[in-house]
Order: sequence, then structure tokens, then C-alpha cells
Amino acid sequence: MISVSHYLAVGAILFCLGLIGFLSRRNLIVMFLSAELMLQGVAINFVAFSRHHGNLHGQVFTLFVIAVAACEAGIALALFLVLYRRKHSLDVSLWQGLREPGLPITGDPEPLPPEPEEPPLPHLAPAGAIPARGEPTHA
Amino acid sequence: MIASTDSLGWIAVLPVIAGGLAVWYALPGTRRRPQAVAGLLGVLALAGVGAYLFRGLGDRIPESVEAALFFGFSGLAIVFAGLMITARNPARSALAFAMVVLSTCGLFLLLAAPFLMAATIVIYAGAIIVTFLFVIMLSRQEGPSNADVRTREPALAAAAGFVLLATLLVGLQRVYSWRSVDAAIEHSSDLARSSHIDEGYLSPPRSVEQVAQVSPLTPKAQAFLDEMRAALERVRLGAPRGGSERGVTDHKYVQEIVHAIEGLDRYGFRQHDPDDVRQECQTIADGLQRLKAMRLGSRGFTDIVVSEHGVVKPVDGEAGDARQLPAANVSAIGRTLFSDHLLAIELAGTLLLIATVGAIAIAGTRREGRP
Amino acid sequence: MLSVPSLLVCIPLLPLVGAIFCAVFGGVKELRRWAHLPAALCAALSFVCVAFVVAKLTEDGAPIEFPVQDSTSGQDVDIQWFSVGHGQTTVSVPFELSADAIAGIMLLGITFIGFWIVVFSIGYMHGSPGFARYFSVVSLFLASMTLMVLANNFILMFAGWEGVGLCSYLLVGYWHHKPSAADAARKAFLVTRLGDVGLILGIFLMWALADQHSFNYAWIFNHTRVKFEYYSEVYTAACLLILCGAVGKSAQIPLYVWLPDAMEGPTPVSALIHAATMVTAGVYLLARCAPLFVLVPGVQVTIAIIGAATALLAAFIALTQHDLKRVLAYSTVSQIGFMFLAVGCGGAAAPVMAVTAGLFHLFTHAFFKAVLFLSAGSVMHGMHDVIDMRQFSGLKRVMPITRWTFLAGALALAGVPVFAGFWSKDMILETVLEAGHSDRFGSIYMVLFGVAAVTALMTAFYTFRAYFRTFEGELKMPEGAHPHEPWVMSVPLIVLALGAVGIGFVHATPLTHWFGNFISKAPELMQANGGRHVEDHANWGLMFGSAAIALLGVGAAYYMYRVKPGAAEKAASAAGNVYYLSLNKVYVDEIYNLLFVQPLNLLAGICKLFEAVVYDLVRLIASIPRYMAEVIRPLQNGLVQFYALTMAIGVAVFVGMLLFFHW
Repeated sequence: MISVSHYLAVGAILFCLGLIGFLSRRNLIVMFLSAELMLQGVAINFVAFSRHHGNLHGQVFTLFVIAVAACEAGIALALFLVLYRRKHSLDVSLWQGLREPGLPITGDPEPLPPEPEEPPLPHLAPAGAIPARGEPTHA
Repeated sequence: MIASTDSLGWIAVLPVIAGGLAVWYALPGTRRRPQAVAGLLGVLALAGVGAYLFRGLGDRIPESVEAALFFGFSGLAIVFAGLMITARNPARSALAFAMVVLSTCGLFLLLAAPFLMAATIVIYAGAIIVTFLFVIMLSRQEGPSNADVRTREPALAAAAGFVLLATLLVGLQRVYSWRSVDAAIEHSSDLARSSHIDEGYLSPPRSVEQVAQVSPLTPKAQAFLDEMRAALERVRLGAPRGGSERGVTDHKYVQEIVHAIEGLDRYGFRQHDPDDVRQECQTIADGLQRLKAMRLGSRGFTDIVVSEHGVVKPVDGEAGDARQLPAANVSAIGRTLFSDHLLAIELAGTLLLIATVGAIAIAGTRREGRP
Repeated sequence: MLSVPSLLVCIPLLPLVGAIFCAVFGGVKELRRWAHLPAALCAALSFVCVAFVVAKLTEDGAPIEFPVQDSTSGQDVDIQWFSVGHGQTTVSVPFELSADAIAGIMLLGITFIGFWIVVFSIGYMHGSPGFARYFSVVSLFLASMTLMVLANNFILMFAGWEGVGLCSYLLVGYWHHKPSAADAARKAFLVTRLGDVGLILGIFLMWALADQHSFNYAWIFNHTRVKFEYYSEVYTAACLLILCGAVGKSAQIPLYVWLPDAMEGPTPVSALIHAATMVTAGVYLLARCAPLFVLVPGVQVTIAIIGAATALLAAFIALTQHDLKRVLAYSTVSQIGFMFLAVGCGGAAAPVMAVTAGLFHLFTHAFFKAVLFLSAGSVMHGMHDVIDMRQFSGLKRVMPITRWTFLAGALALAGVPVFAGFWSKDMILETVLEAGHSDRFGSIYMVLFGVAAVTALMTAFYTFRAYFRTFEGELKMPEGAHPHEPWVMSVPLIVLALGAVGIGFVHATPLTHWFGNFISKAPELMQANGGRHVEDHANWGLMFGSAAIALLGVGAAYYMYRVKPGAAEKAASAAGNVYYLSLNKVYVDEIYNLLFVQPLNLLAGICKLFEAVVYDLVRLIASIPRYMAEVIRPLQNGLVQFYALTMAIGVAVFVGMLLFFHW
């Protein structure tokens, strides 16, 4: 049978992937999603233990986790909005104001390489007559 | 330390290394890397995880529908989690996260939590839609941005995350893998049941003039005793040790096994006494079986002093059978929520209200705050 | 109908309520211009209560107490004020009031004069910013002063004592945006604090000697009488400490320096607090503690010497001041010196006589000094806040009422016969003379009598110098003067001037003896007197002598300032250095500055230097961790993800350690 340990392993994997995402990705929204991923891993643990012990405490706890996550989502998105208004970017690295005084800003070494040119979208062949300028299009 | 067969945990470490490399390779960066390498490593890691789940955690998994569903959902969840954290485009990340949530909901269903499944789909789906909208609305900019293309310390972050994962998996394996204990039980009960004890276990009988000397153990007997000791250690893993320095006595099954092993060491094997060996092996096998049952939760922890704070009692219900969840999941959760957790649910409601107010207050347009 | 004991509570309570109402009125814009109403009304009602109480006292003379002691059950009915500590060391102070003859006289003066000064202030303070604040604090002052007088134990008295000090501070600094007023307020507060420290130490010393049981007057005085012979030195010290408090409050040598500066406050305040009532609190304290002081003749003589010296010194300074209010201020110091002199005779002459003389002078002085100050205030009001006598003269044509009221006050202050001051000053002189006939210290008292006579002469001179220079002669007014006498200011002036003329007749020695008889009913005085009988006879020689001195002084002033206008300058140049000594107030402020302020400044400088050294040393030590921190500072790079990474690594390491070392 599938024992609690299997679910715990899956929860641990999700948690650690979320952790890596949170630590490395610089987009605030992706960081936020990673945190939610960690919460999913934890929720799996709770529900698995709930099943293991045969009571509902784990499921209830998960409900509360979801409630808190919802609060977090609301507040976090509001904060992102404010932050985006300030700097017109969602890059978390732009916010270094709390570093020790006198330390240089941790910046990016070289500018981004240019994006490869995307092939132009195909044009549809125009159908029918092209209306002339200044001419009323409908009677 | 415990026996070497369990401590290695290669079966846990291998997928972790492969996965770590895959994620590190796939994390967005300024240089474009061939994604095929990452995909290959990822498949390797997934296979490793599958092997770990199949073999690393002890109990043999039957080829049932449940197992198939479990592996399907977990695999989906893990794959999409990996895609989520490696996708350059945040919109794709959000979609991948939605898939992770759906797979997790499948796991919830397997775990007999249908209400949670529904709640998670509704709430997270809503949240994801909102997040997704924000992604589209906010990060619509020309060309690639630093936030999406660059990552902060990818190697270090991947290393930290996967080292943590490795420790967690090895720990799980140590706690839940009963392979060595099962082997020890089988070994000792074989020895107890065999009508004729293998001569390789028993020290040669001594002549009269050698009575005063202590005859050495044979290598086979020594290996057997080590295996039994390791199994005992494994069974009582994590429980407080007895002994005078902690003021806690081991419970009687542990003491029985310890005495039996000592008896074998001192008399049974050395003095060439097959009956004694059979009897002690039977004691060891029974004791290990009982302790394992306790650890697995199918037996109540009754009358056992395992901590200096008092007796650990059975967690819930009667000892013996596996405990069952109520069939009417929604009504049972409702009853629990509004009886046992009333204060908590009120607090959670208040928290939601305050969060709503706070979100409106934070995000509200301020004239002077505008750049 | 309220019973008389409950009227006692009303006396301080009504002005307190008035103060609160004034403050409330001040907070409401529409009511602000009516803020004087509660103060005046409550002062009047308080006076009515006092009248009832005094009537009751005249009837049977027994002190009225609150709360009423229930004689049938024999239990003490105490209203606890506060209680500190527990067990053996409990200090518990009840709220107890008591009105005897001394308190009755004081209350009469305080509430009557207080009421009329409040009325005068309505006109005087009209349109001033902080109108409501003024009336609120004046009302609070009346509450504190009556509480101080009515208190039946030392701690409650001290509360009132500090309350009046606070009100004095607030009112002297009424124009707090003026640096000189703020400085004067601070000076008044700090200098009186010096005395108050002595007072509270003295109180606790006596309390400790009286079994640490109660602060009640009667309890402490009874213990003193019993224990004095065992602890005479300690009691002498206690008496000196209490004297210290009285000296501070009543502006005697060496702590008189605050009073002339206190004239920075509004003039009605000078009249009420710094002439009529608060500054006489020291005299009241000495009178109240007469049973104590009668036991220590040495301290009595000290009091008398301090009083006489202050009287002489202040009168000497007052001779040459040009500021009308300053003349009156020094005259106040001088007159209080007279009262001290009188009270200081209690050991040698009969205590009843000494205290009666002191309180009688206090009583009459309150009237005539109040009217003098108010008249000066009226002049100031008309002369656009100019008070320098060199800038105006001949005001009798434009301010006739003020002229007559000032004249009445001046005649009383000078001690011209029939006016109030004559009777009281005569009584003091008589007391001193009586003390001069005693065996111990007799010669000292005789010298003091001479000093008092000289001071009386000087008093008459400087009083009429001020009068002639202000009201007689050519009409001269400063720029922007607008002489006017609104009825709300004139009526109090006239009432108080009538008092200055006639109040002396409550105890005109050959004619009436009401005051003396009334005062001597006070049980503490009877206790202090110890059964000595005083023959209240008229000393005709002394009366004629004192009248002659007063008339001589008035005549000299008339000669110098009316008959021969140049005589004053000639006399000044003839006096030479003595004239400048007086003009510069005997350089006391400068001496104090040199003796106390400069050494303290020096000490402060040394401390500052020391602090600078220590500060730099501490900074040096503190810089070591700062440099060590440079090594790990880069970790705080402000990147959220870096912090999270550190945390994750920490968690991984901990879980790994659990796994590999514990299991």
C-alpha cells in the first residue's frame, strides 16, 4: 500500500523545489508562486498525517493554511502593485534599501543580450477592395 | 550509528543529485543552454525518485489503481513544479503552478480529503487567475527583463534546496524503511524454527580442559548478533534511550530483546547450546515484530514509559486496527471546525477581513505617492 | 443648612471648583470673556463661608474641626488622604481641617482681600491674552492658601504651602514670553524651594520624634512639650529648619531676593500674593508653631534678629528706588521683617502678645499694602504700563480716586496715627520694648527696638517720597498714557482703602481689644503662653513717640520733594556711596552671584570638561566593535533573497546534523 512516507516524500520534494524557486528567481510574482508551492508541499504533509492518524486535525490545519495563504496573496499582490508603481519593474533586486550604509549596490555584471529577432507574423492576403482615403465606408 | 546497509541511502541521494543538476541547468540565465540536457537530467531524477518511492521506503507497493494514481499525480506535481521554477515567462510559471495545484488535489483525493480538494481548487484556482491577470497586466514590457532572465545565486540556491531535500529523504528512509528489520526478523525466526542449527553459528564444543576458557564466537554468529543489534536500534529509532543517566527505563520488549541478544552472546553460541539459541531467537523475533507494529501505529503504545514526561498513550481509538477516517468528510470537517477549532476559525475569519482591509489600504491610489 | 464644619470644606473647595470652571471657560471660545465670573463668585461665596466660621469662633472660641470627632463613640473619624508603607513604618496622613482663631483671622484677610482683588483684576486684566488662565490660577491660589491655613496637620499644610508656591510661580511668569518674567518666576520658585527643603526636613524630624505616629499639630506639640528636655538640641534643629521654610516663603534675609523680582507678574497678583497673603505664610507658620518656638528662646532671638535686619535693609533699599512697584516690594519685605520681629519676641515677652502683634500687623498690612499695590496697578494701567516714578508726577489731577486710595494706604504704612498701620506697628514696638525688659537677651531686644524705630522712620519717608513724586507736583505723563479709572477697579480700591483707614480699630489699644481677645482664644497660643497673663495697657509714651517718628518721616519727605525740589539730589550727592549702595540694592544680587552662581558655573564647566574626556574615551572603546563589524557587514546587503538563502542553508545544516550525528 501507499504509506504516509510516500506522501511525505512528495511533499518534501515540492517544498524544496519551491524553496529553490524562492531563493533564485527574481520576479516577485514567481517568488510568490514559489512560496505557494512550498505551502502546497506542507499541505500534502498535513493531509497525509491526517489520513495516517485517522482524525481530521491535519485537514483542518490545511484549511487554515489555505486561509492564511489567501490573506498572504491579497496583501502580497497589493504590495507588488505599490512596488511596481514605484520602479516600473517586478525585479526584487531593485529593493536593496535595507543594506548596511556604505555598501555598494549589488548590481548585474553585464547588460542583457539582445533578444533574438522573432520571425514576423504572417500576413493574411487582403480580401476585397481596399477602401480609398476620405471615402465614406458606408452609405 | 546504525547498520551500514541503511545509512548509505544512495537510492535517495542519487535522484537528488540528478535533480539538483537539472534544476541548476534549467534555471533561467543570460546564456541560453540546450534544454535537452536539463530534460535528460530531469527524467533521470524522476526515475530516481520513482525508484526511491518504490524501493527506498520499505513496504512493497502493490500494483494497484491507487498506486498508479499516486505515481501519476505525484509525477505531474513534481514535473510541473520543476517547470514552474525554471520557466522564463511568469505567465507560464503561473500555469504550471495551476497544474501543480490540480495534481496536489488529486493527491488530496487519494488521501480521503475531498472537501480540501474542492476548496483548494476553488481558492487556488481563483488566486491563480488573479495572479495570472496581474502577471499579464504588470509585466507587459518590451523585451526580456532582468527579473525574468537573471537568477540570484542559482548554484547556491539549488545546492541549498537539494541538500535539504537529500537530508529529508534520507531521514524519511531511515524512519520508514523496515527492510533491515524485516530481514532480521526473518533471519531470527528461521533460526528459531530450524530443527538443526547451522554449525557455522555455534562455537565448537569444548573439551574438558578448555571449560575454564571462553571460546570465541564464530564470524557467522558475530554477524548475526550485529544484525540483531542494528535491527533493535533501528526499531527504537528516535525514542529516548533508557539508562540511569536519563532516569528512564526501556520498556519491557526492548529489555527482553537486549537480554536475549546478551544471552546468545554469552551462552547460546559460545556454549554450543542449540535449544537455548532457538529459544532466544524466538524471543528476538517476537520482540522485534511487536516493536515494529508499535512503530507503524497498528499497536497502541500502552504501558510504555518512553519519555521522562510520562506515559505515551495510544494516539486515538483502539489499539490494533488501523484507524479510519469518517466517510462523510464535509460534515465531519464542519463538526470539527465549529466545535474543536471554533476560536481558530473566528481568528482566521478576522485575519481574512483585516487582510482585505489592508490590501485595499495598501493598493489604494495615493496622489502624493505617485512617481 | 450646612453645618459649620462642612463649611470648612467649602472654603478651599469653592475656589478649587472656581479654578476648574475658569479653566473650562478658557477652553470654550464663546465663554472666554466670561472666565472671571466663576472666580469672583467662588471667592465671594468662600468669603461668606469664612464669615460664618469666624462668627461661630467669636461665639465660643473652640476650634472647629473637620471631620467632626464623634465624642460619643470615642472613635476617630478619619478621612484618609494617603497612606504609605505598612506595619511599623506606615505613614498615614488624614485629610483634617481645623479652624481656630489664627486661621480665622488669616482666612478673613485672604478671602476678603482675595475677592476684591479678583474684582479689580477684571478691569486690570481686561483684554489680556490668557485672561481665563489668570483667573483660574488666582482661584487655585485662593484654594491652596485657604487649605494651607485650614490644615490640621503638617503634611496637608505643606501641600497647601507648595500649592501657593506653584501658583506664585505661574502668576509671576504670567507673561511667560517675556524673558525677565520667566527668569523671575524661576528665581522665585527656586529660592523658595531652598526654604521648603528645610521645612519638610523639620516636619519629618518632629514627626520622627513624636513616635512617628501622626503629623497632627496637637499631637506633635504635645510630644514636644513632653520630650523637649531629652531632645532639646534636636528640637532646636527642627525649629531652625522650620524657620528656614518661613524665611524662604516670607522673603527674609538671606532668601528675600526673589520678592522684588516677583513684581514682574501682574500687579493684582503682586497685591494678592506677594504683599497681602502668600508671603505672610511664613509669619503664619511661626505663629502656628508658637508652642514649639516658645521652648527655644535662642531661635526666637534669631527670628527677631532676622526680622529686624530684613526690615532695616529693605527699608534702606526702598529709600532710593525709582520703580514704584519695587518701592512697594521692598516695603513688603520690610514690613514682613517687622512681623518676624514681633513673633520673635515670643520667648522674651508673652507669646500671646508677640503672636497677636505679628498677626495684627499681618492683618492690617494685608489691607493697606493691597490698596497700595492696587493703586500702583491703577497708575500702571493708566500710564501704559510705565511704573518708573521719574516719568510721571502730579497724577492727582487725572486719577483722583487712585490718589486718595494711595494716600490712605501710604498713611497707614507710614504709621500715621488713627490709620491701621499705626496701631499694629505700635503694638509691635510695644512688644519689642516689653521683650527688652526680659532677663535673657534683653539688651539684644533693646537694640532691635532701636532698629525698628529707625526703620519706621525710613518707612514713613520712602512711602511719602513715592506718594509725592507720583501724585503731587507738576502733571507729567509718559507717551501713550491714557489715565482712566473704571468703576470695576475703583470700587475695590475704595473698599480696601476704607479698610486701610479703619481696620486698625479692631485692636486700637486703649479703645478696643477685639482682635487680641479673639486671637488669644487659639488653644495653641494658650498652650504656648503657659498661663502667663498679659496686661493690655496703653503705653502712651510709646504711642506718641511712634506718631512723632511717622510724622517726622512724612515731614522730611514733604520737605525734600515738595518744599525744596532740589533737596533730594543734594542729599543724594551728600550721601555719596551710601546712596549708590541703596540704589543698587546693597549689591546683594551681585554678591549672591559671586558666592553661589559663579562657583556653580565653574563646577559645571569642570563637569563639562570631564564629560568631554569620558565621552571621547567611550567613543574610542565603542569604535572597536565598529571596526570588527566591518568584516561581516557585507552580509547585510539588503537583498531579501540573500537573507532567505542564508536561512535555508542554516536549516539544511541543522537537519543534516540531526540526521548524521544524533541518529
